[in-house]
Amino acid sequence: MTDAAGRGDDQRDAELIARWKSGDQRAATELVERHAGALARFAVSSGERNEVEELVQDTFVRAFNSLDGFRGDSSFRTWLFTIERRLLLDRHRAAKRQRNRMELQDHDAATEYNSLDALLANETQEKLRAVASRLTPMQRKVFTLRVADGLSYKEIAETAGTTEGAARVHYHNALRVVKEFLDE
Amino acid sequence: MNDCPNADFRDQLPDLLHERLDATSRARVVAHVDGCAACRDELALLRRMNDTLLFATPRIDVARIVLAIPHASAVARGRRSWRSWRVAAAVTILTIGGVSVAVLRRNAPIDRPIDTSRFSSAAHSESLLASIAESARTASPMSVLPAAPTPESAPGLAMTGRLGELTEAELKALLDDIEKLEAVPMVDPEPVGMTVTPSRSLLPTGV
Repeated sequence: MTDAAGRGDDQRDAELIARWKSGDQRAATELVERHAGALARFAVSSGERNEVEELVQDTFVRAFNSLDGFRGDSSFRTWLFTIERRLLLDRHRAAKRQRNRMELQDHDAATEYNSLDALLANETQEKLRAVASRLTPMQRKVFTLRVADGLSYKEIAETAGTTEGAARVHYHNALRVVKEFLDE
Repeated sequence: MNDCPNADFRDQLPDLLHERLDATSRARVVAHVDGCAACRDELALLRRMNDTLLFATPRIDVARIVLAIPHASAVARGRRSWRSWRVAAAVTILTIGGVSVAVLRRNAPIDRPIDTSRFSSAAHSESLLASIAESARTASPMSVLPAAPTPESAPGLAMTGRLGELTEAELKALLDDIEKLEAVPMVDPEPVGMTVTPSRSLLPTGV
């Protein structure tokens, strides 16, 4: 049903990976250009605030170091999301131990999107920022992956560590919250 | 904002937005959206949200990240080095393990079932006696005794292992077997040059 474009993306990623393996470093540049934005969005929607670029860089470095482990069962982007998610979890655990950072909990929902404040300029965007603050972290993550990155529920489930059914529910709940807010 | 009652079409609106539908599905969804105000509104909302989220994405310095990415050859070298270490470790472990097993097997008593058939010689003894008697009747003086049984012809006494490797029970069984053999009347080989003269009664008449 879906994914003519998705298959094309996967094919392009596979070509670029093969080129990088054969020594073409420009292929790495194109891979980073294709996926860095999505990884940055995922980092923000997961509550990362200050070190988004470092996190994205670490994700790519780790991915390229273990590209032989990428079997193509999922898309390259989903695989990158999975790596980034693990890195995020590691960081959150470290932060929890050090007590230097706020823990990422559901009740922190309103504070997690503060990093977007400076980026949201006009009134519409300000309104949407306010909407985002009403979503739970999982709703926001699923909504971002579905709306901004166009991932399928299956890919979202792999990325966010949930099930396809739960991802669908989170998406529709998030959409309902957005609509209710805009109707107010 | 109203919701379209058709959940299937609503579910596919993000896929339409990102052009992730195949041609058939896309045509169906587009046809539905054209006639459904609720889906049109929802699609417009999704587009706005998408734009906002893309706009809000932190800027990433691609060049800096690419500089941090290793070259494929360096990654492969690192992997080969790691692989050779793993091979070396595996060989070491196997060697140590093999030596340990050998030492243990040499020192520890082996508790294995005894194959008494290896040592049973009663049947063999009978056949040996029959063979001797037959030889005494027919053979030349030089061949009173039958040829010494080879391990193949006398598997009962064939010892393939070393005595030191036998358990106490195996040794006992072996000694019992030897005792049985000694109980059998011995037929010592005659000195060379001696002739065995058969009894007259056994000679054919006229000799």
